[in-house]
Amino acid sequence: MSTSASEAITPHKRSANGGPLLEVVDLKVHFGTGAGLQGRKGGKVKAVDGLSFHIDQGETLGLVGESGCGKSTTGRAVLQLIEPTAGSVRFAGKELIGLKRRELRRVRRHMQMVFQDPYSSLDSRMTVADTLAEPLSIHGLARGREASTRIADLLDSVGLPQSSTRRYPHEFSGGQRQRIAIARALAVSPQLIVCDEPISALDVSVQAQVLNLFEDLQKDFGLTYLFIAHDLAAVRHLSQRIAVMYLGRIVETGDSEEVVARPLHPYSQALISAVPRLESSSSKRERIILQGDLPSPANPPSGCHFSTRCPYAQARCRVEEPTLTTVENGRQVSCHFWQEIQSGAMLPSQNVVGSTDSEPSGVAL
Amino acid sequence: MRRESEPILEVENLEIAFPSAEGALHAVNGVSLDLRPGETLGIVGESGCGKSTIGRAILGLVPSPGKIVGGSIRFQGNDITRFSGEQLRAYRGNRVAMIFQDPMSTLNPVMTIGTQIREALSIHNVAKGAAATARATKLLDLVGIPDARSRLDAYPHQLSGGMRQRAGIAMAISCEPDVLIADEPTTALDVTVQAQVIDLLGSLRDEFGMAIVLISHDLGVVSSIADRVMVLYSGYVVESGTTGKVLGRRLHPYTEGLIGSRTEINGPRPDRLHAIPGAAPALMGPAAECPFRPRCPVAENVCTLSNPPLVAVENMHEAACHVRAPQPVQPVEIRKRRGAQ
Repeated sequence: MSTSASEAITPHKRSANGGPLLEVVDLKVHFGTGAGLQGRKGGKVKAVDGLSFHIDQGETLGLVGESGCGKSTTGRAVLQLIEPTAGSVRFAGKELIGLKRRELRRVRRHMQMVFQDPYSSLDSRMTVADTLAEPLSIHGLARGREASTRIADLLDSVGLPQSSTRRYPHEFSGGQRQRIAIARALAVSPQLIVCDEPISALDVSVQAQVLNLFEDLQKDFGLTYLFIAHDLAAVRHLSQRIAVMYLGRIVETGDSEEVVARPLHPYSQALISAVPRLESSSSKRERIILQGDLPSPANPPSGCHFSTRCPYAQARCRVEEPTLTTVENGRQVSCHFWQEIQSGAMLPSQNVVGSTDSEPSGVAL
Repeated sequence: MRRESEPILEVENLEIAFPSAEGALHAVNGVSLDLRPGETLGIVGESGCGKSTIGRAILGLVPSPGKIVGGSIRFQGNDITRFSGEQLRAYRGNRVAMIFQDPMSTLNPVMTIGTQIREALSIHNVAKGAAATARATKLLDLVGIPDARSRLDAYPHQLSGGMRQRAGIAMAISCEPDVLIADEPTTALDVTVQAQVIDLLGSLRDEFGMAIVLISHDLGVVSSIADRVMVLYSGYVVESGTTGKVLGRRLHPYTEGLIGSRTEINGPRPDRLHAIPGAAPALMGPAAECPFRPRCPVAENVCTLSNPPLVAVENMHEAACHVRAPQPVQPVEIRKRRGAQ
């Protein structure tokens, strides 16, 4: 691994109080849906509705949830690619919300992003060398021969051949393109990388290569990741801690092994239960199969947002909104009845729990 | 397992090639499989291994300029590769139907869901008019779309990804096909919705006795409902057998690699995933050596000498590997065996 890269990575400054590298407090991102037709007043989509979390230097926090839960919006709001409606985003102790453009650009050098689709995130008319040189020149880090050396180092780091420099994105496979996107993020020696579903467009075999690469890079460069994905198994593999999101809010967070082994929130339980496992179809397993889709964030259910799909929902859940409460060491959950569910005192309603050999819906043709 | 009945679909020694500037690209190389009513076969492999091409070939839809250059596909004993256009139209969508990865691109965006299902029913003379509408409503109900009657009037963009895939399934099963080809039906979906769709496929199979060919890059998705699994590499079957046996023994190093690449939600967390290095090659002609050799962790000298044939290692389990499944006698005879009998 190149020494120049590891030197360049030296954090410009840790937070003065030695706190976490990234601290997000009560982050809100609301989108106006605009004025409706015929002058009707438009509504508000609360894509992110009061999110708080932190990530320590060198740590990986996994953010999981279904499409539409606001996890990507969170990632973008952290990088100030979307203007948050309210809350605070502190990076290395510095508040990012309200920063002037020029200041923001300086901070952004230390925070990069890797996107889901390497087919649309790379400029198809730029060679790999151009793609990697651009961030270097924008941030005034390297030019000319120095840039070429840096690009060679970057290609090495992500496992691409040196011959890649003069080639265009279309000449590469999906996995290789994602490596180019990762190299581009690494070019400016960032401290934090927000990875937004970076492997979900890839084959399982290529996913493993990219996950291993993320791990190697973290070790070599001391990177900090916010890893956003809907695949809990991948998140568990890479993250020390997991935050489970549902309709703009965190419903559970904690050490990733503990959350996966003993999920406290019924939504986390359902997510874990839905992950496909290697098992012969003859060995049936009780699974919690959530009915329906995520409700629209423009019109979220009252009370607990999950109450419409929750197998344990009680009358109270439909009226009273639960708060994220610390229940044990670093573990937080937002559910009125997590203790009753955990102890077995409360049982799921039958129509929501199915086994893998569940009966068909019973409508005959 | 329903091995007692006659196979409804038999593919034998199928070879499909695509002409290219550098010569013919061999996408499918001597693949044989059979399928009985009510049975589910999983076909697993990486992008470009030929799994989707096989699925399309079964429907008589080999993408141009690809051509079936050898072998046969028999449906109820009739070779569909010799079907006339008219015969193909009666067969396709009626006896054998397909669901695709991205329902947004397979549903017509300017036609309502109801119109599209009614069209399929009327083309195949299943139902017309009010009867077609009633049946379309039942179909949407059956695939778990709430408020089915009013969703008939919805356009594809008005449905969520999961609901669109359900609508795609409703259309595919509208004529009660004998065989359903599902090509990566859940890859574009969230895990929660993926579980719903896989469950739905399983219950429809059990209810109607359909046979399913489930194509995926993820063994985990396939294993939950497939009776048998076929692992494909560079257009060759490298391992095939009952799901239990293939997952249990993971004989071929490629199968092992696909499993080692998976991140698991249960069990101990490995420090590092056992990723398969490199990428699959595009085969320009018959393989002179084992096509997996350049990426194989257990390759030996013998692997460079010839492409290993598919060898039966036990009842209902075969593999093509010089190291893990050395052939005893007359490999030519065994090569002709059909997938895992």
